This record gives sequence, structure tokens and C-alpha cells, in this order.
Amino acid sequence: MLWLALYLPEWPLQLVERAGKDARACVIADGPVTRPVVRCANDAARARGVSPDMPVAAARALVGALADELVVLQRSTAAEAQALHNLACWAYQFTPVVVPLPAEGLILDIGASLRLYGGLRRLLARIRLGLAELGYRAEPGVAPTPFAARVLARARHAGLPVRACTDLAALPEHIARLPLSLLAWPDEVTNPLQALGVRRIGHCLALPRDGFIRRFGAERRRDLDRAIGLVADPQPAFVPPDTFASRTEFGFEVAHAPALLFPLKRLLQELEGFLRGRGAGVQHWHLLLEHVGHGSTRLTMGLVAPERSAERLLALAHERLVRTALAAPVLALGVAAERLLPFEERNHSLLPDPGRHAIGWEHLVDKLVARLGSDKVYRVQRLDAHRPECAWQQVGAATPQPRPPAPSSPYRPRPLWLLRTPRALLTEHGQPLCQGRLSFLAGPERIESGWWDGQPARRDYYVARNPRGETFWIYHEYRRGQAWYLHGVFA
Amino acid sequence: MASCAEMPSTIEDLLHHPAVWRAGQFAHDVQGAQETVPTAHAALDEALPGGGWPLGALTESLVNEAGVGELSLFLPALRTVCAGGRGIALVAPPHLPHARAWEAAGMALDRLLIIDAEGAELLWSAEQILRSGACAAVLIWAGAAGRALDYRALQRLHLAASKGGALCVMYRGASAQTAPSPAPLRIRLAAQTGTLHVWILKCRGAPCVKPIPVQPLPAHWAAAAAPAAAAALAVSVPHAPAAPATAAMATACRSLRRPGRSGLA
Repeated sequence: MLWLALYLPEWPLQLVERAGKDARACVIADGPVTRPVVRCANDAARARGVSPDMPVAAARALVGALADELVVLQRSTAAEAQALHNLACWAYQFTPVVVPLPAEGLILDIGASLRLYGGLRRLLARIRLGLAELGYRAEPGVAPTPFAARVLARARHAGLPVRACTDLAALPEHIARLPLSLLAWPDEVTNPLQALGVRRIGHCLALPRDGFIRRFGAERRRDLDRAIGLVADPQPAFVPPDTFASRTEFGFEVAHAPALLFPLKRLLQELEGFLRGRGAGVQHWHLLLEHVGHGSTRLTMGLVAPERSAERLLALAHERLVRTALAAPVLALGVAAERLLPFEERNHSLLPDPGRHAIGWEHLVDKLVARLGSDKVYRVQRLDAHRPECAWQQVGAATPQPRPPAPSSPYRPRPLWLLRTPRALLTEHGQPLCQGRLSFLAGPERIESGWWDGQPARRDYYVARNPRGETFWIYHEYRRGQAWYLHGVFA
Repeated sequence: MASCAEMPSTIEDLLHHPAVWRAGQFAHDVQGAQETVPTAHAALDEALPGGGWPLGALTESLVNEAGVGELSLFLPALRTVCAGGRGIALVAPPHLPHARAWEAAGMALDRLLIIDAEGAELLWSAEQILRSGACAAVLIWAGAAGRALDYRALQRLHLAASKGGALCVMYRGASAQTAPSPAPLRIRLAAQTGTLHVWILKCRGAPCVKPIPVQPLPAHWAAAAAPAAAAALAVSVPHAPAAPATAAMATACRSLRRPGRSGLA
């Protein structure tokens, strides 16, 4: 077993910064409403001397006299937990053993994934890149036990030069030199130890077991045993949910839809990681825009086939967003997907084939529907009926179509074009006219149907041609006043 | 006078020079360069460079009438290109495709995509479809594009078509005949005495100056309508002379000589 701990420093601040960097000084406040305390401060704020655990009022005084120079955001533990949960879903693509640790980060068992990803170095590079794409930063720690991995990740965050440890036997030696504070024990344990001159983990491990347990409790000694692998350290199993919902707040107002694409990309990459972990794809997903003034817009995106590539989902969302006028500036953005569908990766050909630039039928239809709307991009389907106007059906290009039975070859000629509504023709001495006198080429063909549904038809169809050489499909209606109608064109 | 010695001595040598291009050597030269699909009309195959409708290039079909067989003319080619399972896109068709007739013509309805768009949207959709290569054939009715259809738009479509390699036919009114176009093949369609005539206005190589009669609609209809349609001659012929005249001029101009390394070198 090999564990990777990802320590997420300043998690509340990371959530704000991933939606887009803000040049202004910004702090996350926590604590009682009457006397809020700075929990995290961004670079701009720290440059002015703001530090964590400082009262917000003091931070304001440091940054500037004007109240709006310092952005103060209230910390939301619920949002932090949700974001950590989503990150765990994302990390599920690398290993089935993912453990989210509140206020710290994630631990993953990567022992079984090394071979698949081509070794530890490549896997770490891949995870680091993935996290950067999501807009997060994390300090990794690699060790054979989860506890030691967490200690190494904390050490890395503290700026200590630590390396990955893959050998359980070498582990006690590996962590011996690290300071005791990295164990994250409560002060009532660490302070007496410091007073005794025990400053490093190695010193602590060297203390007599019985005496240590008597003085500091069995739990602390078990921590040490877990760290060096003397005692099993089972971790709770994380089960990814069946739905996905992620949200990011900006901390500022976004008035133009294209500016939403950057944070949206990060959310979609999170979705992609989640779907990869589940081996699934989505055919419908929702984009939620939360506006200033508590209104919100929900856009639903549909696809022809299940999809999970963030790049493709983003391209379709882009087509939709550039055509959407924002009702009000946007404060937060959300992505949600409810139904996961099985997804199969397609094989790509090694050699270029004739359709070398082919992006595929589904991709094309998705793109057209995203821009034009589903009512403008469609197909027709044949229905078995005698009246031509009832013998077809408009179907969306996105709906998979069951193949109808093989058509009976028409006994009579049928035109390639059908008018949506038959057009009445003028007549001269009882003969129909359509840009000149029509001469009959074929017919009549009697179609008499529909007495049962209130749209009865009793018609004689003819193929007729006018002096310009245009060939039409016309009919004489015997009901409703004996008129001639144009119904099709032999194009 | 040293340069004179290097000059070819006889007219025969001169004509063999690679920089000299003769209008007579048309179809065979371009055959290799251009992928085509047979039209299923022998006379037309013979007249068209490469022996068929060009693939991966914009083909303009100029027709004023509706119902002279302007779509049926391309049906055999559509069947051929779609044999591999790729689809057909109809961009801004004038009417609804009649499901039964298309099926009877051998087209798979589940791969027949219809796009209702106009103006700039029409051109955008057509370009996306052509570029994607997902459709084996794209038929565009340019009437709805309106003013958005200018030379640049046509050039974009032609480029997109060359990228995707599809059969691309654009229907325009005959008034577009005088407008410049980057399409390598432009044809004019009109019916005379019940038969569809195809004038090749522009193509790679020397165009065929005479109209080519084809019969995309059932042949027995032509016979049935012949007496009545005789009067129609007066209507459809006036469009025709303009085409052969310009085509003949073009041939004459090109057959002179192409600018290359001239004798003054």
C-alpha cells in the first residue's frame, strides 16, 4: 500500500481564488459577528501586513481608510465541505480509495494505480496538473501509511525538504527528523513534550512505550504506531454519489457571459474527473447562473450521446452562452448533472482516414443544436398513413431513432418535396393553373382516408407540369368545395 | 544572343513546355487532382472534368424553376457518397422532404439532417457541417442567406468543403450567374421540351459549350408533356445563350497562352 496525502492549504481562500484572481486585497472572515477574525488573507492583503487571526477591523485599518479597498468574505464551512467532497469525487478517477479529511485535504491509496499510470512520478505529475486545471493547489506527501503521508504533506507545506517514502522499513527513519508539531496533536500533549526536550518525531518514538502511554495516553502512542505501520489504520470508504453538483462563487460581479467560460471550464473539468471515476457520461446537464438580487437562470444542455470531455461540454456551453443575454450580473456559477449514463470511449484510428477531419455526427448535431435550437435542426420519419400530410413526423436530431421497417417501394410516384400545407391553385375553365396552364403527366391516384379522425380527405392526385417545365404533385379535393391544391414538387 | 540559343526552336517544342497549358487537355489533367463521384448520366460524366460531380469543392447550381428535376439530378451521386453510412445535410431547403420519396430513392432518413436557418446562421451551419466531414453530402439553398452571401462567404464555404471532402451543392437563382464566384464548377439548369438541360458555365479545364440534356425525372413524363411544353421553349431559351457565349469567350482567352516563361527570357 502506498498513500498519497494532498494537503490543501488555505482551503477557503482557494475556493474564492479558483473563480478568477482578484487584484484587490481579500480576506476570509470567521468568528463572532461582533468581532470577526481574519482566517485567510490573499497575497495582496498579506503584502499590506494582514495576517491570519487578526481582527477584521485591524485588517481594514492596515489596508486603507476606504472601506471598499478590502474585500471581506464570510467563511462558509458548508461550501468548503461540499468543495472537498467534489474534489474527492474528482480524485476517484485515480483510485477507488479516497478519503476526504475536513480542514486538511484528501488521502488516496495509490498503490494499485502506479502501474496503470506509469509510475509514481507520472501519477503525481498528472494529479498535480489536474489540480492546477481545477484551480487548486495542494502539497503532496507519499508514504506507506496514511498517517505518515499526512505528516509528510504537512512538512512540505511548512517548507521542509521531504521526499516521498515508498519503503515501510525506512519509514521511521524517514520521519524521525521531522518536528513534533507536524503530528497535529493538541497543545496539552505537545507542550509538555517540548518542555522535556522532545522536539522531533524520532525522539518521541524512542521514548519508553509504557511510560509514554501512562503519561500521554494510549491514543497518542497508537498514532505513532499507525504512522510507522505497527498498527493497522483502516480508513472509511468513500462512496461517490450518483449525482454531481458543483458551484463556485466569484466574490465580484460578472456582467458578460464570455467571462463565465473560465470558471465554467474548471467546473466542467471537475465533472469530467467525477465521470471518469464513475465510468459514466452525461447526456443532459444544467448550468446555473446565480444573479445579483437572488434571481437565477438555469440552462439545460442536451447532447446526442453521453459525453464527458470537459473540452466538448465547454464548446457547446460556449455556443449557448454567447447567445444568452444575462438577465443581471452573475455572482455564482453552478454545474449539475443528475443522470449518469454508461460511457464508452471510442477508438481513434492511428492512420488518417478519408474523413480525416471528421468530428463525428453526434458532435456536429450537438454543435448545431446548441446554436440554432432543437426545433431548427431535425430529421423526418415516415409514418404509415395514406394522407401524405399524415405520413411523416418531425423528430429531433438528438433523439435516437429506431429504424422503421423497410419501406414498401411506392407504387405511384412521390415528389421529393412536400409542402407543409397544401396551396390552393387558381383555375381557369375548371383547369388548374400554376404559373401557366398545367398539363397532366400521370394520375389520377385516389386517396380517400381519414373519415375517422375528423380530417377526411377524398382526393385525386395528379402529376402535372406547367409551361416552364416545373413538375408538381397536385390534387383535386372533392370535399370542401371541389378545389385544386398544390401538394408537392418533383424537384 | 546567348539566350536565343536556349529558346525552343519549333512551335511543337514550345507546346511541350510545362508552363504552356492547352485548353484541349482538360479532363485528363484534372482527373488525378480532383476526386469526383459519377453523375449516372453518361453525357454529363463525359463533359465534367474528372468524370463526375467534384467532391470537396463547392458546386453552384443555378436554377430559377422549382420542379425541373434539379434535386433528382444529384440523387444517384447522393446514393453513392452515402453508401458508407455517412449522412446528408439539407441546409434551408425550400420545402419539407417527403419521407416516402426519399426512402424510395434509397436514402436513409435517420441520416438526413434538415437545418432551417437563414442569413448568417445559414452560412455558419453550412460551414460547420462541411468542415466537420460528418456528412457525405451537403445541399444548400442559398435563397434564404440573403445579403450575407457574398464572395467571401462563398470562399469560406469552398474552403470548408475542401477540408471536409463532401459533395457540396449550392442552389442559387440564375441571376447569380453574373456575380463572381470561387466555385470551381458552376452549372445552369433549365427545362426545355420536358427535358432538363445542363449548361456548364464554369469548370476546371475547357467547359462544354453545348447544353447537355439529362432526364432525372421519369422519362415517360417527358414524352407525355412534349406537345404542351413545346410552347415553353420561348420561356426557357432566353437564359441559355448568355452561358455558352461567356464560356466560349473564356475558352478562347485561356487557349491563347498562359503567362509563364515567355520567349523574352
